[in-house]
Amino acid sequence: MDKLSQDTADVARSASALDPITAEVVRCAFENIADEMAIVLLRTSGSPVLTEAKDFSAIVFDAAGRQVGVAGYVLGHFASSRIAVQEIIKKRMPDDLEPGDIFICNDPYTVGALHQGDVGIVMPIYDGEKLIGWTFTNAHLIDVGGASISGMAPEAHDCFEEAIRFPGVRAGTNGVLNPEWVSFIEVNVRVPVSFINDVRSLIAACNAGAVRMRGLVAEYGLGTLHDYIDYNIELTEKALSARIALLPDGTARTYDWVEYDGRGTADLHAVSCEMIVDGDKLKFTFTGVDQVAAFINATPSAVAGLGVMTPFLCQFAQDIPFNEGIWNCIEIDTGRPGTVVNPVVPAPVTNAHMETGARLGRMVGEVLSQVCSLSSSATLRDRVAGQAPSSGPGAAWFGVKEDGELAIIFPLDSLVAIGGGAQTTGDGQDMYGFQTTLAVSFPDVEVHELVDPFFILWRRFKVNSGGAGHNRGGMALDQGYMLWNVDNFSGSCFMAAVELPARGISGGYPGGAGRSAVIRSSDVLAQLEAGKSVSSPEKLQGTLDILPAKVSNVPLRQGDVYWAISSGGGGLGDPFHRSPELVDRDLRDARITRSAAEELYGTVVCESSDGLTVDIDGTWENRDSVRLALVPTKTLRLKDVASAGGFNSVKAGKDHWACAYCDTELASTADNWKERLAPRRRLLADLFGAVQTQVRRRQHQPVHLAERYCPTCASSLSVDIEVEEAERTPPVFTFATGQLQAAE
Amino acid sequence: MCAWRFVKFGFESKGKYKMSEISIGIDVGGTHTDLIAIMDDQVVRAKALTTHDDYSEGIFSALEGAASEFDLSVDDLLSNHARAFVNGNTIVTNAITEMKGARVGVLVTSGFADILQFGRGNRSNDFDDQLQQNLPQTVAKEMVAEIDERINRDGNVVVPLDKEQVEREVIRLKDLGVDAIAVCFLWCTRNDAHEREVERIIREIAPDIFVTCSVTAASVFREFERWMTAILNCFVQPPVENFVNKVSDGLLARGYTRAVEFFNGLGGVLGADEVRELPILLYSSGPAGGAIAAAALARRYGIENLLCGDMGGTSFDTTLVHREKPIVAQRCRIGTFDTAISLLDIVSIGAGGGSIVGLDARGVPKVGPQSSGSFPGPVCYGNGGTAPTITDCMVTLGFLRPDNYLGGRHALDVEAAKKALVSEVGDAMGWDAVETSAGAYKLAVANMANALRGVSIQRGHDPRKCTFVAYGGALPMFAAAICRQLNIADMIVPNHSSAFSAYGLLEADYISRKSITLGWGVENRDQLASIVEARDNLEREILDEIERAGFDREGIQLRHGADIRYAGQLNELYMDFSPEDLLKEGEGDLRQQFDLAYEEEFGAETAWHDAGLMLINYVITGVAVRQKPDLKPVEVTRHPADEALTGSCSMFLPDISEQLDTPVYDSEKMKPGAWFQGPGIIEVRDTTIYVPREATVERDGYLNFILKL
Repeated sequence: MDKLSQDTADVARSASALDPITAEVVRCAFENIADEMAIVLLRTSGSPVLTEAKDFSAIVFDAAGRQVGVAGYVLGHFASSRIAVQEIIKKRMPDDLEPGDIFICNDPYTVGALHQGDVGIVMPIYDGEKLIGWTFTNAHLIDVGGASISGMAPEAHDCFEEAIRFPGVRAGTNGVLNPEWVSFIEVNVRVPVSFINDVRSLIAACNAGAVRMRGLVAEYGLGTLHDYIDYNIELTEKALSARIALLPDGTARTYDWVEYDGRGTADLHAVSCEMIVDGDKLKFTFTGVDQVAAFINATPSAVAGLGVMTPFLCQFAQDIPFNEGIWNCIEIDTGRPGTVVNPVVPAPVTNAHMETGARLGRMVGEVLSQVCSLSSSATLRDRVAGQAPSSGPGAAWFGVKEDGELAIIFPLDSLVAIGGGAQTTGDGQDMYGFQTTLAVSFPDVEVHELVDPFFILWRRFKVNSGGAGHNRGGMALDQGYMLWNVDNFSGSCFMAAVELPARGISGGYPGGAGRSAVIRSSDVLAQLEAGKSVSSPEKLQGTLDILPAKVSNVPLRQGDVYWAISSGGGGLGDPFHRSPELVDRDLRDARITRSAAEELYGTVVCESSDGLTVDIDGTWENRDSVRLALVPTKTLRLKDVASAGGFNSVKAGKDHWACAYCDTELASTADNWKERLAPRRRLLADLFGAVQTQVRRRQHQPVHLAERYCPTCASSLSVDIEVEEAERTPPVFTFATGQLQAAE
Repeated sequence: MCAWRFVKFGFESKGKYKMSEISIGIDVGGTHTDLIAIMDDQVVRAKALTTHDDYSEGIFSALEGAASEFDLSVDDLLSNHARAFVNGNTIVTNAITEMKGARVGVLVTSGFADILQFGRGNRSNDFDDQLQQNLPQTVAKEMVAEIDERINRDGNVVVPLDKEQVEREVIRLKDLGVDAIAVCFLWCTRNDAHEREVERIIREIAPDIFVTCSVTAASVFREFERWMTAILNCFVQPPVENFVNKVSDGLLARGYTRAVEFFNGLGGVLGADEVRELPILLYSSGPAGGAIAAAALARRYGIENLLCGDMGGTSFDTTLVHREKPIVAQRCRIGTFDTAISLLDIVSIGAGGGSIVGLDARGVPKVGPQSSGSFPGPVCYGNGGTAPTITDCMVTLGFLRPDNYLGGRHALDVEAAKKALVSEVGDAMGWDAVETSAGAYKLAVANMANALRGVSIQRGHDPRKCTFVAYGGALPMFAAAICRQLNIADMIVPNHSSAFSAYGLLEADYISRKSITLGWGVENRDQLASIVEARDNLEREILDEIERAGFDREGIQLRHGADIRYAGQLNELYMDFSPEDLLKEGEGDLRQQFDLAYEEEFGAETAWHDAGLMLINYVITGVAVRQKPDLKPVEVTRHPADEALTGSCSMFLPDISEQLDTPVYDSEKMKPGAWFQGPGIIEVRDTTIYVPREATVERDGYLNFILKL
């Protein structure tokens, strides 16, 4: 039995007189129902957004609108579905509901969609006359009308410009779509055939779930089934409460900015996150600047789903079966209406999830790391991680194909081929995707080329994209393609983070940021004509047109090459603690450059006939001398403290914060230890420029790294991101009075 | 080594065989090497421990066991009596699990080398970020060489092959000591000239290096899985080549002059030469053996839909056999790698005898997916295992008798099992060892029932209308409870249940399945002539291969089909059709057939009537029918099984939650026609069959156990 289950072992026994074995059998049956719904959806839909990017979900509710089974691919939909079903219940019950009703939901403001591109279907499940539950399916459809294709409108000023919105309207009865609605939708979206087919798939999946749910009621009886639903919710809630109770009481805080450059200036919109641990409950409070007339504002489900539930499930509640009980332990406060974290109509929201939503998620990952690092449980102390960037260059293209037909092309590769945050168990996963999209993948080169008028020139790792650390962040994609046999396409491009990359944790460094560009009027056609291989951007001549992060109406013509770089994950722990052998392997595998190996990892690189290799012993000596120059009080050797292991750079003793590697006291726990250590400040763009890592330089309000080292062992304890002219207290956990507990 | 035999009428003494031709099937498993030899309708079994250093040793000792049973020398058996020799093995599976194989070099289209490492992304659907791992590195970066060349989707050369660069890189890889080279170019499926030219160059300048072109490994589009198939084929080549040579040479030395045949994951056999070229096809042949044996059973009994299951030490494997044909899955994963190979569609979940019983994060009991493995194994084995397993539960409940396990060859420590169950799970729940075991039994049954529901319902079949065939050593203790959960009324436990997979080897045909990527918009009738030509070439290729393997060209059955999708979709659905359907327009054309097939698979009104139709891969399966064992049922007189009743045993029956003095029957004394009503257990030498209350069991003329639930 592992430590955590031992801690909560009495939960199942004491929860109720019901049989825990039957409870587990019932729970698996609900999961099974959701899985079957997902399979029906996946296999009947043609949209690559579903089949490869897995941008969909299927969720089962009881009659009261409580979640009982999920087939999670998009964790954010756990929030969407709950808001949607509860809104339908509020609006339709008890008189305005019939078996077979089909409610269509994509309005972020009323029925919980992450953004308008996510179209949800809610259907009641009846057993005869009796309402016994609800099914919810949701998929990101390739187009929902409006200003821009694929539901992302980078330049829209309000939500009326953005896309068509369905606030949970009845689109069909008796399980069949109403032809009136079909004809209405057909003239309002760009690709009606695929839209209607996908909606049919969503309905088919709901119907499949209803059949199974009726089977369960027949097997157990509605009363008993409800008893077991209650019991399972209670089990989950108690297990999560017990885990939260292992965290120290107090407040974790951090801050960030949402980037928007779609109006010609590179603006940063401040947001902040506070997580209060109070016994066995957690409260998240988010604040943000006034809502902006751009698609970044966070809808309620973007806050609850992307901001809270996604990092919470991936990092903290990863093994507790999901149901309504998880929500019962969490409170979310988004403050006054009219801000980027609590917008009101007409604020545009088509990129709510990937912008402010994902940005809140990055903050929540960070505050979870802060507080887990101070837990009394060794298992929880291992649940710290570098940030997952959740930002890739999305591009959607529109034009006329060779056969004269209109084409909408939404290549998912660069958008989802994002690195994951470094973990205590190892380096971050390459091409991990958005944190919220489980099981995400991107299509083969040949899959694109078979159906899309594209020719892909290269598809490779973006070198140095993984953030430096004892464990490195996951790597991201670098890809270039051009039009093939067509001309004059137009695109929308959007990417959340080009200036503020995913942060490292515990002294780890940020990952590389993303970028999209067009190499205009290049010699690609001439080179191919001459039979030359154009397998990297270095082989091309042309004008490099670096695109804003959010932009519409980007022309792509013959001879242009679209070049996209995705973002990498944040590192974990001091990169000067990383094993030189692993740095050597990364160098050989071309995941990092020599400059990064030397500057970020402090290694000594030798050149031989065998290529570049790392001098292991020389590296440790070099690391000591580099750090000694920064920290003259240094007395310990890095090699000795690095082998002490552990990924939490700072611990809380009885009264003092201390370096976790050498026990040097840093400050009283009543104080912010970071304010007691003078940081080394460097311009992020300078450092990344020197080590060939992607980030966009800010002219106004430049971005700094604040690096803090232990005065005795000179290990990197924290690397924070600061924006000039926006002063913030460096983020550190504050213990509740009298609640200090020493980590064992 | 041990051998035993079962003959139709009870158990006669040695030397009573009238010698004629013998077919031999040998299944090399993780622990045991099982042999089944069939002469007319007599079945002989032999067993040896699997010899992991040199698998052929275990094979030859099992052969000795069988030969002595026939009162022959091995040489006499092989040179004068053996008609067929079919082997199934886990060599490919082991090589990939352990990541032990060849040093592979790769030549890949310039600009795309990193795809070999990151694929299409490797994120799983686990919530836990700590479980998100990268693919294991099969080929080190320095072993990969980018080659300037490029072919486009239409098969036209955009960048010609740089032959000098190829020569340079091949010499560099040779100097690095590679054993094999995989040639991985884009769109070779449309034009294989570049890959073939590179293959020729390698053969010329480095003839000792094994080469696989990706177009040879799998002539289908989607480069990542095709390339992985080629690389894995190279990776597993040395151990397979070594094994095939040892077995072939060993058999030849002992006088066997016919073709040795190897069982593949599609449930067919291949000749030694095909295996040497495409060793990867041997992957997953073990589970396929059971499915093929089940298909034979379906044929014999005339069962329309049959679910079959096998429970081993770490997993429960299940599949559906519809109209005597096991279902084929395409684009299968091998370990964590996506490949382009097709296998029998066998679903595997982590529920085996060694699955660990523990508590989950909520403190609720759970079974698996972790397993105690073959070592240390269950606590009751006394090999130092401390985590209680399903086997420990079955000992605790009394299903496995400590003094009689595997015929008394393995003593079991019941007390240690009980202690572990209580300390690891029971104490937390307030349960004793028996209550804990009963709970774990129910969970294991529910997990397996969900898996069966998955393979049946997801393919449009109602499990209640299926017959369940349960085999392997452990499953017959659970199978009846699983059936009751799914309302399945008919269940069969085959005779030789634990060697059922080996028996399947003798039921296999020679199968060659090949495909070619066409990417043809079916509406474009002007391309029809070239499509037909491509199809005819593919057909000829298959006929030639099967003929080379020693079969009569005229007797080869060809099945035509294709992977088809609606324009706008990314996934294809495979559909069978007859070759002339390709030429039809209107009534009975591909469009009509596909709309029907699609709705049969996904439900009414799901077809995309407005979308175009894309025929992505044309698939031809060639089957050369091999001679099958001709088992005939004996005459049966129905009679109570009283003579087989050996006593009773106090057991806790978890399905009805009762401690009961349960009658115990000895299978060796259960003659054809013997029947009884449950509750009861039948002890077979290495299996225990549980017959629950109100169920009946009868041994039929094939010596199988037929349960009615």
